[in-house]
Amino acid sequence: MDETPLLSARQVTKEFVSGHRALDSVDLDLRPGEWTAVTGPSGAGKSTLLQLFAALETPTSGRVLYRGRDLADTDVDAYRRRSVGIVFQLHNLLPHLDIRENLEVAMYGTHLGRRARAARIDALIHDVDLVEQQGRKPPQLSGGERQRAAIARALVNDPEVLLADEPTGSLDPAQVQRLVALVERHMADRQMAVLMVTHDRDVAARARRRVVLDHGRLTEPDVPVPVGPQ
Amino acid sequence: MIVDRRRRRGGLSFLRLIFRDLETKKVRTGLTAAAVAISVMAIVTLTVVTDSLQKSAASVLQTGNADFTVAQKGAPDLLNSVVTETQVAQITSTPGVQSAVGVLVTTTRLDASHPVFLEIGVSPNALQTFGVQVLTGRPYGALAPDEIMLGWQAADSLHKHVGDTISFDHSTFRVVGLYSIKQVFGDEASMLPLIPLQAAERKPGTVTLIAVKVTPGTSIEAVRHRIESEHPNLATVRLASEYGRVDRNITFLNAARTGATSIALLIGVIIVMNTMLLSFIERIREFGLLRALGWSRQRLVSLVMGEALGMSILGAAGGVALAFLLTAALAHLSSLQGLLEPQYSASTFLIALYSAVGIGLLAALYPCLRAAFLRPGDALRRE
Repeated sequence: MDETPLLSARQVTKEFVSGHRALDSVDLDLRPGEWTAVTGPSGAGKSTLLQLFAALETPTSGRVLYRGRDLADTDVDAYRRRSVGIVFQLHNLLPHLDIRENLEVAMYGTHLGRRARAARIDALIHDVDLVEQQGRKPPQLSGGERQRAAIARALVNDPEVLLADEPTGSLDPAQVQRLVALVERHMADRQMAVLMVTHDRDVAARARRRVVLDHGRLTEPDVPVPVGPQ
Repeated sequence: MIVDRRRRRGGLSFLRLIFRDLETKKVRTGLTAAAVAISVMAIVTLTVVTDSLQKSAASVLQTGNADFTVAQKGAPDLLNSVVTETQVAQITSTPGVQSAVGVLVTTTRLDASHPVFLEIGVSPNALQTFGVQVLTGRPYGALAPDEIMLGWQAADSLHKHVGDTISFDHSTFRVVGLYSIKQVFGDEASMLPLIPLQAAERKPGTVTLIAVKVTPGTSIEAVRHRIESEHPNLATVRLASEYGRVDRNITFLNAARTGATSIALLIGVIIVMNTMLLSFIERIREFGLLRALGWSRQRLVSLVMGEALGMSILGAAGGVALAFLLTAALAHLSSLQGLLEPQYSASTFLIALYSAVGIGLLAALYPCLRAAFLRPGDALRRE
């Protein structure tokens, strides 16, 4: 496995206008092909950490590095479009577009032709088992179906990093297994790094690295754990 | 099956996404397009009405087969123009002038169907030069105060024939002939001998305008320039757009149109901007999400602008339809009958389109700025 970090947080602190300090001097590396699980109580700063890595927020102090370069000096639009895939806690699908269109919208600005886009969408919709539902709009879907659609959208541009905020919360155990297998396949095929916020112990157990955030601080050392069946 | 069909059509293009957004938010789209339509209606109606009134007024100048017309410069109203017969004689002898016919023009009200009936005073020996063709009967006598000729269209609408009488302005006239001057406004008018009409109007020795024809091969512009140089109190008019030079009412009318059009445009921009801003606030999470998915500022601004353009085009179509109905209704008002004959041309539709697009783009500017500088993290935190 490549040990050069793909994404790094260096002494990252995030304070909001209200004065609330969501993250406090966090150091964390995400390496290609590596799965990192983040756990911790509500309000610990897990989602904020994801948003900083997704370039949706900027740190109050410290730096977020992508391939050694500060995200502040990067074309963040291209970075969000090509390098990261985000699964939001609330799915955040566009309600007036069907599943297929939600994926298409995420592919605007990529240099793929129509056929290639259609083929990639077909494959992902098949992978998340939404072939029958692909013409439906989010309000017509169950929570689990919306969750799977959000995962497909996050993977549609073949990202280098998957940032997922509770992606299995609405899924049944069989669907969780299928999702984990899909993510692991992307990791294996494309050396995709994964940072997943989860409260699911079984899912967290599949990660090579597990870190705990509490009151904005990483309270467990950033130490890899052995990969294997639990 | 549905998906297969869509895939064959090429998926969700950016343009189709814009249409989808407009289609999904029917009420917002409808209300915004209605606001644009009302502004466009006001602008188009004002334009059509003022153009029509201007054309009707200018057609007085275009009566006859002159190359251009001479009248008093800056007169408040063409009918108040005063040109002396001495000036007519001087212009007649200007080099390059083939003929110059002095014409006295006045109006009267015949009945509800003919609220503005034109009386044109021309000497009978100048009728042919002026371009008048007597169709039936004969020309009036030079000094006959009770003789009149009717344009063939006027005779038709008044049901008058040669030998009949017609009364107005406390006088009764005998119709001695019907004429054609091959111009609608002139053919709907009447002609009387110049001297008796000057006496009746208490304007002896003066005319309203001079119809000038230049010698073939002579530059019309050069002759116009010469006449204006030699007669500083006179102005020459060749095109309807120059009519304001001899009728300040038209200048005021155009100024009023410009002012009213600007106000309509401004009101349209404010209403549409308000609607779009409310819509922007309502969709702030959606825009934040699109930025989070890697949409550039330019693409997001294009989406907002594209939607504004779509609503503008809808508004333009609605505005033209409303303007068509409104001008048709105005044309039936008794005070405007005979004066307002709305005509729609390609320029009318272009004005509608430009106005609507102008309103849409101006109104979208501020929401576009907000969209461009939206921070996705902040937007996604909005409830």
